[in-house]
Amino acid sequence: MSGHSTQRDDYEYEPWYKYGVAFLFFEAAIAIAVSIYALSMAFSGQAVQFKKKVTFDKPKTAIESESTREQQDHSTITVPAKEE
Amino acid sequence: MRNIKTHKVEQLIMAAVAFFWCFLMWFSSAAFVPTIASQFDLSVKGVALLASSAIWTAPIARPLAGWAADKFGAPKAFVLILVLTGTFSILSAYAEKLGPAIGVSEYHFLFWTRVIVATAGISFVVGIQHVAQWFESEEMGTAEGLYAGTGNVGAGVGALLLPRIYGLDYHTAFVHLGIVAFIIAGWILLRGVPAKSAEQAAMAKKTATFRDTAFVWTRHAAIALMLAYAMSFGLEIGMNAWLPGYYKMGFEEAIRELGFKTLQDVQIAAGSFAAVQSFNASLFRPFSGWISDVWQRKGWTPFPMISKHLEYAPRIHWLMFALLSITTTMILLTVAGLQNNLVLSVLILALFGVTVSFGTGGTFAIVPLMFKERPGTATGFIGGISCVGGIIYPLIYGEAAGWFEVGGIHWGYALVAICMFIPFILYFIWAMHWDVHPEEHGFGSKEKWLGKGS
Repeated sequence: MSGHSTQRDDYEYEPWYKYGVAFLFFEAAIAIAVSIYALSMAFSGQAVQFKKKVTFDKPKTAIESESTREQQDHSTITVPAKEE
Repeated sequence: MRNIKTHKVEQLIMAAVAFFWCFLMWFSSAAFVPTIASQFDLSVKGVALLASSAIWTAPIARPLAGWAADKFGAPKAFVLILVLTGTFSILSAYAEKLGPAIGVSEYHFLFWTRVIVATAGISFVVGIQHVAQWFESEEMGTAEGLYAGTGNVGAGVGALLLPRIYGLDYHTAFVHLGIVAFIIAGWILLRGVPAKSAEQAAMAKKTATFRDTAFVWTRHAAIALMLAYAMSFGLEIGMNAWLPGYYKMGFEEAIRELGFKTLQDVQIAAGSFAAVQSFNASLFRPFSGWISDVWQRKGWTPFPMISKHLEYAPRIHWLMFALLSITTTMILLTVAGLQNNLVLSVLILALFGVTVSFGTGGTFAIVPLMFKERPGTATGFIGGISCVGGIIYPLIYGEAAGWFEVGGIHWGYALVAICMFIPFILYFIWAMHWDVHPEEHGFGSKEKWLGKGS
């Protein structure tokens, strides 16, 4: 790239400038981290873990429900299917 | 001017905090759209109307805010915006009682008060003007980048945190947002100083006239920078609205193959891909301002035809590089889409977000230097009118989808790049070829607009 009369390589910045540059690198690092996180979550198919999983099931009797209650994952909500 | 002992970094932090909060309020309605839509049983059209209403006032009100910043000083303009939008934010929380009290429905009261709250977005130009009044030309790119980039994050932070903190209770969120706006307004009222010197503040005030505004709006350089900002910030806000739908419609099969089976899962995945653009475009913006400073320091002017002798010529060359990068990545997005390659498309999208930030940061590293005497007016025009791009591009993408039998939804990016961006770039090159005062060339002479002896 060509150098011209605009060249000011000797300009001395004030002390705040280096902190400002450090902060903008920090912001750029956050952007990269967020991108990697979002993409890895999405491409591994795990983004769904942010919400509760909803499954549809036939209504169970009170005894069946009692026996299976403890086996259920806390993140699973069972929605009874409507009776025909 | 008030005699307060302050430092320019305090003024920068003050402007960045105020803009961050305004940006948070600007998009706070969007964070609660699912709740509001459910509560008022809104149709898809109603949801789209509510979402788009946030941008309505920007093209008209931003130029006015720029003029006000020059005329009355940025601190007063900031206080006015924060108090006005803070008040309406609090009022919107009581729509249930206040709407019927004045004879309108609860939803109509909520909708229109939120449109007024969305005017908080005009504060961008006020802060740009404020930072320009305090920092030296050699550090302008980094200072403006830190201000705008940090402020822009308000939108992402709002979308991420507001629903987690307040759940479905948007009423309390709107009240708290309004109260904090008052606190920031109080801080600015106490500590805000319009410029580093009384002379500089007086110069900006003197040029805040209708004639000066008309003069700036008709300059080739101002129009070229406005188009450059429409290619970057206008494109960024347009893509924010368009991308989730694009990935859902354009790559539904590929997303399902990743394991996202239900409609809701596909939406979450599409939203995650789209967020990559938004975060990169916001958070790399300060980095772009710093790169502009580096080009300036090194004196890099690689492009032919563009002036190499202006004091800030390297910054114009950096913006030129950014505009070429944006155009290239837009075409590559189409190529990746036509190949139905989701991984490639998302990787290019991440790069695209970075190139957009090059454009936004690069533009406002130039504006305060080129329009030194009229920073607010120029920023209002460039930052305001360019927002129209956010409305136009998604419409073109949607129309283009019907023009091609195969992969129509992917063609919009290349069409916009070739039919709009390349002519914009050619105009930019032409507008920036003058070696002396490029900001004075335009439709009608300086004397015609400002009178003899100007």
